[in-house]
Parts: sequence; C-alpha cells; structure tokens
Amino acid sequence: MKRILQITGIILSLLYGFGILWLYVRQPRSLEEFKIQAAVEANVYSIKQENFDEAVRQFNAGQYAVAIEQFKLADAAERDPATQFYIAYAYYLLGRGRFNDDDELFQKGLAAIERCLANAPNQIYETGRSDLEIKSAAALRQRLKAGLEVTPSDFNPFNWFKKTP
Amino acid sequence: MPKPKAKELFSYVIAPLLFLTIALIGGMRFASGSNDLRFFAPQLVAVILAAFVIILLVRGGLVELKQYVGEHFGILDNASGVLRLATLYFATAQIFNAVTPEKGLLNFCFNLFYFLIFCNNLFVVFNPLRLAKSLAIVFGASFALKYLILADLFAPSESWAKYILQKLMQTTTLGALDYEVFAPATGYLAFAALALYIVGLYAIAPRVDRSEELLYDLFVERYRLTPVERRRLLAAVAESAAQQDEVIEAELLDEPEAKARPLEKENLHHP
Repeated sequence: MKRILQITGIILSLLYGFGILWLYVRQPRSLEEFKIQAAVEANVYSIKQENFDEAVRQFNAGQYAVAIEQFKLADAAERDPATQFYIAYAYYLLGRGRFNDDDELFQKGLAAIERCLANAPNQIYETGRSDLEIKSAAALRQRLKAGLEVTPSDFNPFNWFKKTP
Repeated sequence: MPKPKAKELFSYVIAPLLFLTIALIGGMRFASGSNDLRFFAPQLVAVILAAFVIILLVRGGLVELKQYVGEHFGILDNASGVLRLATLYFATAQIFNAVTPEKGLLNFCFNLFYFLIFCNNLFVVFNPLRLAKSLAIVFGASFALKYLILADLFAPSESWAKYILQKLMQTTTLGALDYEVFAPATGYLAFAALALYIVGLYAIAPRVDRSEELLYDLFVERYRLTPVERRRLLAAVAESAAQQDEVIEAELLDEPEAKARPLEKENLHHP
C-alpha cells in the first residue's frame, strides 16, 4: 500500500509541477487565454471560422479597422499564418500614404507579419488571392520595414501621383 | 487490499500537492484595474532565502532528513523523499515571493530583514513547533506590512493628501521607493498561500510529546534551576544511565546566575 501511495504521489506531483511550470512560462492573463494556450499545446487549436469569414468580407469591402478586429477574434492565439497575413495587410493598407506612411500602424503590421512568418511552414507564406498587390509575406514585411525608414524618396513630390487605397 | 493509513496518505500524496498548490498561488497576482492574471517567478534572493529556511527546518527538527532520504531506503522511498523536500522548497521560495514587495527599496529592506532573522535563527535552539510558530510570525508580519499597510499607502486614491504623501515618499527616496500595486484579490490569494503553508508546516512537523517539551524547557531555561535542582537532575540522569551499558561523564559547575528563580515544581520529576 505504501508503494502505491508513493508512486501516486510522485506521478501526481510531477504532473502538477509541470502544469505549474507551464503556467509560469506561458503566463496566461485570463481563463480564456489559458484555454486557448492549452488548446495550442494540445494541438487542437483552430481559428473561429465565422469571425474569419466576416473579417474577409469586411476586408473586401474596404473596412480594414473592422476587419482587423474580426481577424483578431478569429485567431485569438495569433497562430494562424493566413489570418496574421490579413491583419498585417490591413494595417499596411490603413497606414500607407501618398507622402509618408503611418509608423504606428506599420509597426503593428510588422508585428503581425512576423507572427505570420513564425507560424508558417519554413517561414514562407504566400496568399492565394490574385487581387492583392503584395502576395508574399516576406515581400510585405520588406514593404512595412521600408515604410518605417525615412529615405530621400519620401520627399519626392511625384509621390502624390502614386496609387493609394 | 488494505486501507491506506492516513499518515502515509498525507505524507506521500497530500503534503506534496499542498506545497505545490502554495508554489502555484504564491506567485500569482491580479493586475490593478484590469484584474488580469500575472505569474511572478521567485527572485534569486527568494530562492536563496528558501534554502536558508530549509536548513533551519532541518536544524530545528521540523524536517527530519532521515525520514525523507537515506541509504537504508530503496529508490522509490528516496525519490519520494526528494520530491517531498523539493515541493517544500518551492513552496517556501514562493512564500517569500508572495510576502515581499516586488521591486525597489522596500524589496531590499524586506530581504535584508529576512536574511538577518534567519542568520540569527541558525544559532538559536528550537523545537519543531516553536520553529513553525516563529516562521508564521515572520511571514505573517511581512504579509501584514505588504498587503495591509503598503498596499493601502500606495493604492491609487482621489485624496489629494494621499497623493501628495505618495509623491513625497517617492521624491525623498529619489524614486527608490517603488511599489507595484495589485488588485485586492492578490491579498486574499497571498493570505491563502500563507495559511496553507503554516498548516502544511504544522502537519509535517513531528509530534512533540510532553516529555520532549519538558526536556526542551529544561535545556533552554536551565539558568532558572537552583544548584540543588541541578544536582538532583544530574543524579537522576546518572542513575538512569548507570542502568545502561554506555558510560556518561558529567561535571557540575557553579554558575553565577544560580540565584535565579527555581523552576515550577510540577516541571521536575525528582528521583
């Protein structure tokens, strides 16, 4: 009986201890976040398809701010490359301007595209949509980075004639 | 299959889980305003202080090492013992984490206070129960200072007087008096962790019977014995030792504090 109790104690303590360690490493901020992170760890995480479809609809309609909100709801764990690409693209479209780009929005876009690449297989992601100006995540990251830098071309008056959303 | 003994069930299963629960909730905080959960791992100093406390627990007899690990045990017994000691250690580190301010000058002052107290305690004679009480008082005082006084002092307030006082304290200490305010739920959680820890310590402490308590009293308060009582005590020890094979040597020294008050009659069993 003593041996059974000892084995039970060791197994339960190790499981509980690893659970505690996981919590301290992952740092979930709420019960909801805890559930999402646990689903990701268990490999059963999937995006909310209804929110994703609604977000794409808003994106196509040019309502980028609303689309971003819906994309964030669809991919709460920020693990889906396609959703993160859309978020980055929406920030890019919101932030780009004739003379200069909005740094704050581009920063957010850059963070989203980094997440997209981090979660994509081999850090390569390309959208299947032919209507988008930039199709690859790497190219979009380059564009966002370039937008955050101040270059002589930013002061080119002919920029006024470039295509804007 | 025989029913498990309550003592074994507690030692091997419940106590480790209890201490792990303390390790979990000792570092949990709720952010002020948003009530977001945050997990604080123990600082290096908390880990070192916890090691101090474990030494103290072993020295004070609250943790009897020979009941946890030893050559006479099998692998399973030793593994279980090491795991139980580890859970106690993690719980102790997290208790320091819970009752100490997270940063700034106050964090330094609290840690210095613990360090001095435990350094002093290393050279004090304890029995297990008294050590548990001593730890309860140290941690309880820190808890009260952090969650009752400092939390209230630094809590965001609409009172101008309090605001000025907070700014004055921060300015006069050149910003060193930095205190992180958390939601009130954090205090409740820390209290639960502390209460569980004290209960856990009390539960794992070996039981001290009346004779052992009397022996402890005799040893600690020996200066209260009169010379006559000392001679009688030695005679009693010598008489009982004479019946055993081992030989003991004893020498009676007259000490200047012999004038001290005699021990109460009922505490001494004269031969």
